Amino acid sequence: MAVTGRNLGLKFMVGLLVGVIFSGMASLMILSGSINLQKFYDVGNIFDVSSAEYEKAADHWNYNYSTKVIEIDADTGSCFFTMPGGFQDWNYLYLDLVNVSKPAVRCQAAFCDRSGNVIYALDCSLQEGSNVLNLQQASKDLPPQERRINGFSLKVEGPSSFGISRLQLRERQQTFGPKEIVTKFAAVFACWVMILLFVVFKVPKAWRHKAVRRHSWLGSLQEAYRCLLCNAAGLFEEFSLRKISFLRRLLFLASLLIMYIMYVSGWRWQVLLQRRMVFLLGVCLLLVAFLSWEPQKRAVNWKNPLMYAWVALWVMCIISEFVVGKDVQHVGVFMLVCMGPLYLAWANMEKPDRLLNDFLVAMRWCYWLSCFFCLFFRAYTPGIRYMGIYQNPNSFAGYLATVNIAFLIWLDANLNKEKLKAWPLCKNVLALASICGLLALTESITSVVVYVMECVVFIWKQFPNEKPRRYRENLRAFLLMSVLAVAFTWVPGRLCLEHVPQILKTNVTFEGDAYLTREDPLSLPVQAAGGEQAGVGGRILSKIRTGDWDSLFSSRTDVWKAYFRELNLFGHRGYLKSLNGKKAHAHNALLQMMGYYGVFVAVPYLFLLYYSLKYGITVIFGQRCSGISLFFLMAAVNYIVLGLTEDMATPFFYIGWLTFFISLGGLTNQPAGTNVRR
Amino acid sequence: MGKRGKLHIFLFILAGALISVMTVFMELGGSVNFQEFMSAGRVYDVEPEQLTKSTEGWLYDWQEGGYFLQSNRAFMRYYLSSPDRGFNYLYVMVEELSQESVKVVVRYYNGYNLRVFKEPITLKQGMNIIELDGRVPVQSLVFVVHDAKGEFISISSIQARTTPSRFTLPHFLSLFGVTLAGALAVLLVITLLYRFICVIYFPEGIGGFYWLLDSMQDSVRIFGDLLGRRMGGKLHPRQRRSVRRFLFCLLLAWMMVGNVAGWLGSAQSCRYHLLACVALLLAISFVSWERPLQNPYWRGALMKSWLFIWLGIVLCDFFVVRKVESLTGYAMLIAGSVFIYFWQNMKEPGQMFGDLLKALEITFLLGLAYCVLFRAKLPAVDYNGMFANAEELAMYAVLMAIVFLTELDGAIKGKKGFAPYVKCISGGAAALFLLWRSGHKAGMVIFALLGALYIPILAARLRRTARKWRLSLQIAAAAAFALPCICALFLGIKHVPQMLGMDISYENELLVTELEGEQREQYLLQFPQSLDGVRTKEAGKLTIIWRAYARRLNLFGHSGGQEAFRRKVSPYNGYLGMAYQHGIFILLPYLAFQVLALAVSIKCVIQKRGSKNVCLLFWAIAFTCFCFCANVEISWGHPLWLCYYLSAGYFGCVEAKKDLGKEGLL
Repeated sequence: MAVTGRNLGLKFMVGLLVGVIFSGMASLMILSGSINLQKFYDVGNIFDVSSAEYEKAADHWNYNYSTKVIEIDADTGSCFFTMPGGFQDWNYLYLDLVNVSKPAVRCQAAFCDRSGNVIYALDCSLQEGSNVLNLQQASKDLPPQERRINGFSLKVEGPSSFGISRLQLRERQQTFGPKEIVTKFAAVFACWVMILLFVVFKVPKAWRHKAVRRHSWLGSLQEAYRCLLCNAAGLFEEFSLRKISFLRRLLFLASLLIMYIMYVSGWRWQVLLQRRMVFLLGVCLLLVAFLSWEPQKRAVNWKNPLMYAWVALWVMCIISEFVVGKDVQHVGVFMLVCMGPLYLAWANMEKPDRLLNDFLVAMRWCYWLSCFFCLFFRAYTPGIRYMGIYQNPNSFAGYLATVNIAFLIWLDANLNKEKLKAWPLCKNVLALASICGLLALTESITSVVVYVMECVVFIWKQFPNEKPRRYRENLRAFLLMSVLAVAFTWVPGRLCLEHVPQILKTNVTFEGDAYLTREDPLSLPVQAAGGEQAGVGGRILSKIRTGDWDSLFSSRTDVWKAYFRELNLFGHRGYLKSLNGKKAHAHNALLQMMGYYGVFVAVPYLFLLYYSLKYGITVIFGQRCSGISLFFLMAAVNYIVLGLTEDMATPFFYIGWLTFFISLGGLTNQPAGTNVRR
Repeated sequence: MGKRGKLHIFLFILAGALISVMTVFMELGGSVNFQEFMSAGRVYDVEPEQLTKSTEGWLYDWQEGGYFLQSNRAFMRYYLSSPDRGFNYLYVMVEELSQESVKVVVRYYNGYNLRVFKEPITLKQGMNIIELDGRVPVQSLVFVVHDAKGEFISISSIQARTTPSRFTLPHFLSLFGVTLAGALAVLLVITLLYRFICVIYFPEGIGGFYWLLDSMQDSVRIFGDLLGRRMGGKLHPRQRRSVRRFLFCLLLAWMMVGNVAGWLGSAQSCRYHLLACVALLLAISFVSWERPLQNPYWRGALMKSWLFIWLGIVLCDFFVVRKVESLTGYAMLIAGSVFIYFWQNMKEPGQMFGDLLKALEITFLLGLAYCVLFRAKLPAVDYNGMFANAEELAMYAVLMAIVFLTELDGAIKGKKGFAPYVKCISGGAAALFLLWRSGHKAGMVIFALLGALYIPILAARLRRTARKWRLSLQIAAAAAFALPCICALFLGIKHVPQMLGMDISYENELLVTELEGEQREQYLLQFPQSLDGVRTKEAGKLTIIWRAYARRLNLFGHSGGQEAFRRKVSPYNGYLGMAYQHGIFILLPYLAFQVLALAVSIKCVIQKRGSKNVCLLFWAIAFTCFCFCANVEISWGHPLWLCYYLSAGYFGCVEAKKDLGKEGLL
């Protein structure tokens, strides 16, 4: 990319984004009074009691969902809150109240040990606003090892009512609030912007441009890939195109199955098995690259921001992994060694759509296999969210939303065909209908949103152009088939799903099936069963009606908060302790990436996401547009939207993750000699 | 067998032997177990020192080599494991007994020193196999001998274990012979089958994994050109040499610092230590860039075996969770390969070698100064020098002695005047002095061997030179000059650190003394507490240590070291160490590399391809010899280790020329 005024804006954006992160980091460290790169927000341990805990009914303690206040309907009402043990220095209890019915409400907080015995108690008077209970004084007579608390109860004088906006235990007193953070942040950010402007306008251009020569690095990387592919291409020299295509499909299918098996079997957490599976996955992708290599067919241009962001992201991952060991290892090396050659081989193909088509075919094969598995081995139990081939309805829904892309693209590519054969259309429509049906059974709101967005993208692609007659005929056939397929899958299909595994006694359960554990509020497996608002529609309505973020995101806000507090420079080993002191993923791809690999990884990651969307849209309307060019945008939408509330960032676990990073292969390569898109 | 018939036969037999060892071990262990061939369970050998200590009731007689029992209830405690563990068998080897048998009550004690069990046994001359109650966890056993006052008993070994021992040398050898024959026959069939398939289906030959090797080389070439052009390409040849020497000095010093600081043992610090080493080695490589790189010939046996050593280490990562061991493999595979690649691309590879030698000399000089100022020699304790143990100092001293011998060789050939002789002889003498102070007998023997080998080379050099007398005079004068230097060094390390109050001791220092048994006791009578924390040499315990390592051999190696005598012990054998850490089959490339390095260097010396070949040959010999009796595999922590493995770069040049010549490419 030549250094011109055109990409100054891009560089400035990078500078600003780095500045935002740096300012956040610096302001937190200044306010917390310690330069701690392991934890910027170093204010001691914090435990947030989840809103779900005090919204539950207890002894004369009732939560009114319409007024959002707790009502004490007797002389006293109490509620017990459990918390993880292991930490003894809880010194402050923060209780922020709103809408308190009296000027002051008497309250007794009693703190219990593991056996439920009260270790010490504290009497206080609660008022509107923030109430801070000093536990240090109450427990000063106890030896340190006996201060460990595993729960506490609040006994409140009644009749009264109040709303709780925060119930939090802290090791250290809170010394600053959001206002101070914003002020400090603004000050630091202003300094940063000034420095940035100084660099842009005052530092001579020659100095700036001399410092980094990324092109030679990228060129060398490409050259190294080219050599690898040329050296290995000899292995498959004599294979016919048909054979290559078939092998590619098999390899892609194997990749998808490897990821699935790794996830379901729990091998993902066993270091050695994980390494072997990742190695196999890498070998599969490398073999695809070797099979697809057509030397000197096309010159490729990797000088675009997406490729820079891609390389920067994985280099940063490698550095982070070097500094802090990871539970899920070698993603950076995997990407640079296995995915990079695949990108280059793909870009060098005379007809790149072939590779993409093979991947989509593999996805479709994978879906049929999973359908078979669900039908014969994974029974649907009414009232419990369906988990399909996974242990968690959300994961299964994510999978369905991802494979949906393959079928939608087939439809997009074939609706214009002169003679659309009945059997493929029937098969495809049946798959789309069954995906829709299964998605409804999972009741996963995020995936339903993704599904809807994919459909919107698909429909959007259909409208702009004037369609020929054959298109309209095919569309009619498709709609007719759809009605039949929906009827078929939603009535007999559902019945089969409920009864076939039971009749054949082939029903299997996985270790860690979400309906078995039921402890994770994020999965909410049994809420769907309750009452009149069953089903995905009911769930969405109930969430919207409550009107608060916590409920809308199923307590994910607590997880996000916990992840934010733990952000640091080089990331963490694995999942962090969040809800109720249990380790959980961040339920957000960006936060998860920052949690894994450090805060600055957000810069290339956000650029990667942005450019994947941008290029995905451009490809649809570009000169190279083909029947399956919709894939790139759909893969990006699927990844980004799912990643807003689910874990799409943990590498090697999710098929949506692989789909997204394979899709980047088609976007990073720009024809040589063309202007770089920014 | 093709072009490298002898090597292939060697590897063929070695593979057969390793398979046989594996099979026999599994046969002896009674199960097919690739995690631990022997399936030996828990085994604890009582430390030989414990078998010679005296108590009130058991008085050890050093002349007789056994105990005289002093009372009618004589107690002797043997510590086994910590924490408490159960053992099913106790093997007591009684060498001599004044009676036909003696009645002993064995008491079991736990970690709180509470007696948890007791049982009566009878000891006879020879091997006594006693069944213990494995359900009772114990930490120590007490032998109580009743009514045997004045009797004599000599115990040579005590071993507690959870499984019975089926290993005896004759049994092992007989099984080994049979399985070796079988393994060789099977390997022969497989080889013939492979060749048959090759002839039928792949008449043009199988590419094998050369594409991977070529890709690796291409990657090094591409990135090497990119970085090399910006580093080495911008330097004048003289600047290049100076920078290279400086970086070599840094690297060697850093490695030694890391070793003595104990960074090699912990996963967190080891990775940063290795990162610095890799960065320095890569910097040396890129600084050495002279012209656009070309792929050197790496399809020769020596380079292949070198690569397979590190690949084998890396491969173990798929089978064993290890913290430190595989990192060394990755580091060498990345940085070592790049370094060798650049070395082989130099117009004059000898320059790199010369710079390495110069850096070794400089660091040695700095090391000596450091020793004189900070590291005092303790009386009756072997000197550790700048290292944490005497063995490492001995290896370093041998390495440096070889370096100065080479310099001397070069000086004799080069007619460079008197100064080089002074430097070589003084340096060599200092190295020998350190070797002597380290008290490492194996090191001394190895140096003596090298000296003996050098005599004919020196004689040949002298015979060829016309200025014999002048030369002899110069050498004698230089030796005369070296003598006061050594005296100063002797006095320096004895008194200066204490005089200046700057004596430093390391946290992980291993102090050993020559004094054993009676001598030690007498010395302690004279100087009480002077040997606190000082161990006797492990030489007497080597067989037990080797057996402890051999027992745990497996297919893909282990993480961490092996325990013996209630503490972690090093293997004191390079082959066992490698086989234990990275699996038994790592010995294939490891031994192949050693053999080839020796063969290539011998050939070079015979063909008189420069005096530096003498150095390479001696390094190869020294390293191979140390492999038998020392912990030579101190990855990224010892100059000898680094020099030996990096010398593959120079050997590779020679091999490449030979192989390319054979293939008609030169």
